[in-house]
Amino acid sequence: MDPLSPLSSLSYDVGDFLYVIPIAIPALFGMIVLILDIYLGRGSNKTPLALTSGLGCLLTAVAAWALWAPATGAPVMAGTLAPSAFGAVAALAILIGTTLIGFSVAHHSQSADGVGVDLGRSIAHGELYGLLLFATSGMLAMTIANDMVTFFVAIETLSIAVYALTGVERRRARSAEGAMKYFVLGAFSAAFLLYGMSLLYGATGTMRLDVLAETAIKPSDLPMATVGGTLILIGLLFKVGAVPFHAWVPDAYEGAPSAVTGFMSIGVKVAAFAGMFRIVEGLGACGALGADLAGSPVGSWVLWFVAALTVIGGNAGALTQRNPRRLMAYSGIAHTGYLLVALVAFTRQFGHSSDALNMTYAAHDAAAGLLFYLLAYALANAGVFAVINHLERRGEDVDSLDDLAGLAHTQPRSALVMAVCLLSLAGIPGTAGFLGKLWVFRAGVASGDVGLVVLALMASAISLYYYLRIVVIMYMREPQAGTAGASSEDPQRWCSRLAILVAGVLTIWLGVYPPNAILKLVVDGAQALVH
Amino acid sequence: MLASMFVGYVGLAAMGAICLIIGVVALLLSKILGPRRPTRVKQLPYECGVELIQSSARERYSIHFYLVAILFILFDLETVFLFPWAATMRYGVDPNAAMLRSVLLTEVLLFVGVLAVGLFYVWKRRGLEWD
Amino acid sequence: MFPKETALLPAIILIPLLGALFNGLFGKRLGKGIVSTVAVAAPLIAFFFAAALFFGLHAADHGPLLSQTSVVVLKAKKDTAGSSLPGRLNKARRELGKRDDLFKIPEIEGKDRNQVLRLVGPASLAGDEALKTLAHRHNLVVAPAASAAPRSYRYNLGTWIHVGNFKVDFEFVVDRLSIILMLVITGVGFLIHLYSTDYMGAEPRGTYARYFSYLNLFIASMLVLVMGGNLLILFIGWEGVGMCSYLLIGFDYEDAKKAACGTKAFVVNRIGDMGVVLGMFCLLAALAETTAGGTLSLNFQTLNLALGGSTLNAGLIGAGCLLLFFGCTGKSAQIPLHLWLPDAMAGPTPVSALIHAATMVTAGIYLIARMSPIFAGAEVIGVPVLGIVALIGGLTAFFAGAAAIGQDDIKKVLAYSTVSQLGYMFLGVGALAMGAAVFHLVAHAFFKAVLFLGAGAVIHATHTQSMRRMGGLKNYMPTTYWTMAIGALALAGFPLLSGFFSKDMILLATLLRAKAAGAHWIWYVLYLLGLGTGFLTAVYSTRLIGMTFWGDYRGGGPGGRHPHAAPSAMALPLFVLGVLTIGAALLGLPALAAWMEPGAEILPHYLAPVVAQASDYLVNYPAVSSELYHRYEIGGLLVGAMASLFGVAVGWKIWGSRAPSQVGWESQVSGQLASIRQVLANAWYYDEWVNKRFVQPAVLYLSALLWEHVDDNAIDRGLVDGTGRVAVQLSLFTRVFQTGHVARYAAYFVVGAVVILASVHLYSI
Repeated sequence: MDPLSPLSSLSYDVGDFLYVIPIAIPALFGMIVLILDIYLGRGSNKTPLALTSGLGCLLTAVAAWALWAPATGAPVMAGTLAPSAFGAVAALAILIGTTLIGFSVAHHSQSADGVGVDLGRSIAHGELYGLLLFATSGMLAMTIANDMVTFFVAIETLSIAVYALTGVERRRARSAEGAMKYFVLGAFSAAFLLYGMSLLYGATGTMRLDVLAETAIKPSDLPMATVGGTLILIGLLFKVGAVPFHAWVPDAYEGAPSAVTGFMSIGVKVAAFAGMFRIVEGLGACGALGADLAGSPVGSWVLWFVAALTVIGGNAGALTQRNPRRLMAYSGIAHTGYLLVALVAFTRQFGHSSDALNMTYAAHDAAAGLLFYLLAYALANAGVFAVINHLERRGEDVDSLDDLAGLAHTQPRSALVMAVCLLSLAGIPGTAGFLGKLWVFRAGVASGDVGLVVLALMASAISLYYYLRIVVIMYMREPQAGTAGASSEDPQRWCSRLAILVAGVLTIWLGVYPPNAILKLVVDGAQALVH
Repeated sequence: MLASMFVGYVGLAAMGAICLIIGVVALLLSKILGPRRPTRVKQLPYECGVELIQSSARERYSIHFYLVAILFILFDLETVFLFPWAATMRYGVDPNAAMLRSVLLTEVLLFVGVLAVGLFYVWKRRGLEWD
Repeated sequence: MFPKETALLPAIILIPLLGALFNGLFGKRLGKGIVSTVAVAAPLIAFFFAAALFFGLHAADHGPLLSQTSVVVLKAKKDTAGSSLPGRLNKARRELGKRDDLFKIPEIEGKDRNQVLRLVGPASLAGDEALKTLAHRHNLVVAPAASAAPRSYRYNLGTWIHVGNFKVDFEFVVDRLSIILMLVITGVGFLIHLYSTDYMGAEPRGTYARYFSYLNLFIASMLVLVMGGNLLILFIGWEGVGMCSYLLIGFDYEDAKKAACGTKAFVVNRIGDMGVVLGMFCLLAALAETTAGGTLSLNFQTLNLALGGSTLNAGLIGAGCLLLFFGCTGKSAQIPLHLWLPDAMAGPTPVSALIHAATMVTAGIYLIARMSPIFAGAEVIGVPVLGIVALIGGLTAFFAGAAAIGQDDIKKVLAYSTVSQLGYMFLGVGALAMGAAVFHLVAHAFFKAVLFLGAGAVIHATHTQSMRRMGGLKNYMPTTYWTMAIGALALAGFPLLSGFFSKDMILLATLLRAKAAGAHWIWYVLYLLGLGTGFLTAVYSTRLIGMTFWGDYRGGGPGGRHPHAAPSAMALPLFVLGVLTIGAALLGLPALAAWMEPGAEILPHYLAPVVAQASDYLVNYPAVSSELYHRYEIGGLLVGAMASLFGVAVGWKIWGSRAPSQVGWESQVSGQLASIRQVLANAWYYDEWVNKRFVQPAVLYLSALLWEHVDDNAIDRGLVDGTGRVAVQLSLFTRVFQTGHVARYAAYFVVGAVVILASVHLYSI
């Protein structure tokens, strides 16, 4: 083969470009929004931006459903992408976040000085929506990336956009501080990720996940592969905010404007978990998760401890928080812990245990549970942040839980959705969060990790305290003058009210009677990942 | 096992050592052999032959410097991508693979189009104006 | 197939339920007129619906068999030879073992050429193509089993529980057994509702509405109990009536004593309910073994067919039946759990009549009759469960009957009488005379309701429950007197009244059971106990009437008001029930005449297809149309009549002829008689004994331990507060790490990464 002509060996089918469409649409709409913002002029109503980005997300969702969902997960585009229903469900969860969060800040007004200002806050809406959509594009690419280079490019596309988003409120010191911390630590973790990838490439000679899964590594290269795999895992654990790589989460969440925090808590986590499962599938199959220890790769046990630390750390940290964004940050860490339970169950299949068949079932359950959980989590978080954004529309910060006092009296509908979404996060039956937790924990039990599941259950019982405390504050306290919770509802803000309504209704719908189409998609997604 | 693992890296280590030695030796040699007659002009920082703009590095620059610099690097680096593309088109692709060639052409046009949109946005946002 | 009628099934339950809801929610704001109209109409409509079902059932019996479970047999084709029949049947049996829809492992029955393979499975079994093919392969044919159950109505609201192969439908079934009880529940229920409109008339509006709401709810629960198609639905009703009973006993909850009585009834019933639940588990376990992986359900039909006479897991079945019977002793007030019923008299008198005499307390008899095919074959370490049932029933009947003689409170007399009569019913059930037991149940529902309602009228008139302060009421309230006299005579088993025939039928069954081959001698003792109870019953019935109605009025005192006659809304039910008491005799006229087959009495004959028959389960049971039967029958009637008449005479002698001035002469008797009276008045000191042996120790040690140490210290302080404290400490601990310094965050990152890398790498090398 002529080393100068690498392209001649690649199978480049023009039809493959179809699979890129769901990734391209958000990027295209990101550009459109940027240009549109210029022509809208300063100080004008920015609702068209939200509508445009919403349209883009809708088109993306349709495209993902139509193009990815029927695909089997076989590699396309010269092996760089592997579209499947798995990617489609993750894409839905991400798009729910982008759309609802985008809608919920549509009515934040801008002042005339170019960078929108409401009472001292400054957010340029064109940049906000543009970055949201660029990040979304990266996230979608991450869920179906089949090549580690593609994967890394995707993860950087989303990361850089989110670093910028964290600091989008550029006249506020906290925002800049959070962005800086996030950026520094993010770059740090990217180095781990990249180093791990290069080591793995050195050991296996491939960057493609599907090839990796079928590679038999030479025993002498195994240590290198294991170190590489572990480094990749560490890089990704940082992205999902697992203890002890979580320290950036509370600061970044608190520093970022609420809208961005909501987006980060949904999109970044969904994309990172989806990508993590796909990469771990490759790592585990080639043995890069380490040698067998009691029937599972040693990586499983490491993840076991990380999961345990994360559920404890997340829930314990949330207990004493007064700032809603910080509280949601710890809540997000706790949810990372629950999802890591699914990851542990997922990795058990790579060991040489005696009941391999059951471990495959458990892995299948874990992948399906993950997807459903991500949907439920995206909806619930979108609901919570949509309400907070709705309240902040006049620039009244919701920086303390006390600002929500009496919300049930002044804005009963918002308070109701907030309560429903919090209950879903706590995993109360009748909400989507319950089914997600049930599914994930069932996988944990099936894979034999009963101890971990019991720990997670106990931790989620503790979580009820801080979720219900918000409900108590909303429903049983009197509104305090001058806080966001004291102002009554404004019928003009139909975009954010729509976002709140959708989040609440879908949370209940998925929890009470999940439609078959979704369930089928979830199971298909798991099927595409675990053969 | 531990030892055998690092056998393959002996060459790398040797290269690192050689680099280190050469660098240290070169610096030492110039220190020892080079004549030193410092004058005030010689002590000044070298700025592409231009006279000093600011007397101290700790003073504040206009933020526009950074903006322009970042924009320059952005577009500069992105145009660099056109070179490997051109090389590939010339030497790497079968001249008769019309389909593949047109796909590659479309790709690079899209790439340039995105750059153009970016430029347009910066322009419209008055990022290129000094005031 | 019968859309109109099956729709009545849920309607019958729904109507009283809606009545309860309506009165419970809105009754307080509406007038008493509306409340009472709604409350009385509900059971009346339900009664009409039940009557419609009764006639529908009658007509449907001539239609085709409709059933959820079917029984088919595989038998030899007429004209084939081939290999031997047992061999072919065995092969077919092995192949059928793979099917998982059968309720029971197929069994080979019959002898020699008549051998068949019996299958119990879903209704589709008869038309199952696979089964036909299989039968054909082995030179066999599929035929419906010989025994065909009569028609029943089913209404399935849908699947309630479906876990693995365990499935419970929310299903109601009305067959011959349940329709009889439904008619009694709604009919007597209606009369008692009507009676209550006057009896409770003086209560304030809110209380009035609450009362009728509970009463309607009770009717609905009781209907669920008898209409439930499986044990779990029955259990819903079982718990529902228990709750209503509790609410109504403690209806006057401001009186702490009455509230305590309600609590006592509830607690004692809970102990029994535990037995029901455990029994259910045992039977389910037995079924799981019988079906070997097939569908598990708690349907009565399935259970009866699959477990009736099964020897596969006799231990589980025996234990299950015994536990269920333990539940029955709670609900139906039998030894050892009978002690709550006398205290239940704290409730309003119509409640005592409806719940604690006519309906709820008979639930135990219903349950055993419903599952009689299983009970008939159940044994615990060689002792037949029904023998235990009969023994408990006989002993309860005797001892409670004696205790009734010592009571001065008119309602307590009736309460012990009820316990005693329920004992009779269990004796009949135990002797496998389900028809007789149900006959006595129906007759008892009528005459005991009369007695209670009459007692209510008396209490209403005299404002006391103590019979010592009554007397001579014959002249003031003649309607009450005559109807109560009829009721008391029926209770006493006075010849030609319903109680006479029903009691006699039970005694006859006991005697025949004793005569069965291999029967234990205890059955003769039970017969004598029953006879003795008949005598005691006659004595206390006469005493009740004598102390209340004869002689002079002892209440009132100087300036006291004279008692008044019962108002019409109270008199009408009394009258109707009095007529029914006499008329019920028709249901069980004995088969004296030669043209009447033994067991051809109307009610037992009607029930025969749906309950177990002694002749089916006892070898050489001397029952089949022999001369012997008629001889025993005539003899039994004569002996029973003599016991009754003798009792009445004794009562008459003692209480009928006493002069009016001798108030409470009983308490002045001395010597041995006085101590006997003491024992009887205290009902054999059973309450005291239970209190000393079980309740006091439980309160002193167990509850102190659970409350102070387990609950207060361990749970509240340790688990509840402790968890919170640990969580908060943990939370404060995590905050220490969140310093805000990026460098430190990076340090955590590196430390974590190094630990992970080291652990993975070092282990993997």
